[in-house]
Amino acid sequence: MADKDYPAELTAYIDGELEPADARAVEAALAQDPALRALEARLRSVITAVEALPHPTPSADLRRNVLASIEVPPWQARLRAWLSGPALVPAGLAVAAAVTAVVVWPQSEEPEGEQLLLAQNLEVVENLDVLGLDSPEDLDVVTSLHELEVQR
Amino acid sequence: MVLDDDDTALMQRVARGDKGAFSHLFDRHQASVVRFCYRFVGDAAVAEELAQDVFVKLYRSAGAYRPSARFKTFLFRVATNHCLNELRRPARRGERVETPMDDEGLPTALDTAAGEATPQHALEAKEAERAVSRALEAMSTRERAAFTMCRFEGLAYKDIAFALDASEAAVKSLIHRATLHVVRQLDALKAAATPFPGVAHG
Repeated sequence: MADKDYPAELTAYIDGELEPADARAVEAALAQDPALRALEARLRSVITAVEALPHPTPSADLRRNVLASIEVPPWQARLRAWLSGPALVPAGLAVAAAVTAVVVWPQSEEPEGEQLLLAQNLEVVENLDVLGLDSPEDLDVVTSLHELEVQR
Repeated sequence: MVLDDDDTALMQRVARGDKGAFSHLFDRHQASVVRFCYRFVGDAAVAEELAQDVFVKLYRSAGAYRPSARFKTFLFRVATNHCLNELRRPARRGERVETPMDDEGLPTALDTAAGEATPQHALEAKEAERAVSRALEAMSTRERAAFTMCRFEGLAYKDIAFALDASEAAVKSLIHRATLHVVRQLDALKAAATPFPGVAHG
């Protein structure tokens, strides 16, 4: 007990988060140590001041926006975020590269050519950073792109 | 009728697609989530965006909620993960916006009810706000999350441990270090405000 780091225990003691035996040990140390008592008083006054600080209040738009957002299907919401985010540039480059490949080698209609192009694109897709995706979950967006085509 | 302690029941209804139940939960907890996000990022507009994302994620992940966890703890786990992920994005990368202050030195986003405070209280509130803002910037993201949940939301250490996926001992240490950050910032501000500390009684 003698080598216990009482200053480090003080915040939890003030917050009422110590086990009863540990709290009693801190109280005993406080009774004997004026410096520890001064630190306790300082921590208490700071915590009181912090907890009294004012906070921002939510705007009316927040409620409206949240309730509108939950009406949108998840894959569509991710697609919107994906298309409006920094992913657009690398994704655009990937699409441009794919289009260029098709235009420059229009004769590559043989199964081998298609398979090669598909393999190249899959390599890009596997690298989430290149596409600007955050997680494999966002690939749902890519796999759902055909649903947009159907809607059109 | 909706009772005060039935967040869990409401969340179970949300998991079944009940948007009315979600609306109740939102109304109850929106202020807490905005407050948490604001203290986390230091910008009221960004905090609202984050809070919006948090509630949409909450709605979409309602099926993952298990009643064994307190609803508010689950909510703050979602909020913490979202804020931490946001700060990990390349555009933000650990950055906390410095809180904009008005001419009086108070954060511009806050409703301060200044008319009710005495000049002495107003001065102390200004100092505390500046110190907290600077201390939050200096904290690690986990210290910031733990401190915010403890000091502004009144969450118990065990609930904060669940939200941060950490041990209670780790949370105790995070909160203590974070509180000391604020003490140091307050001391620094007081030292800076005293031009000749050695001759205070002249």
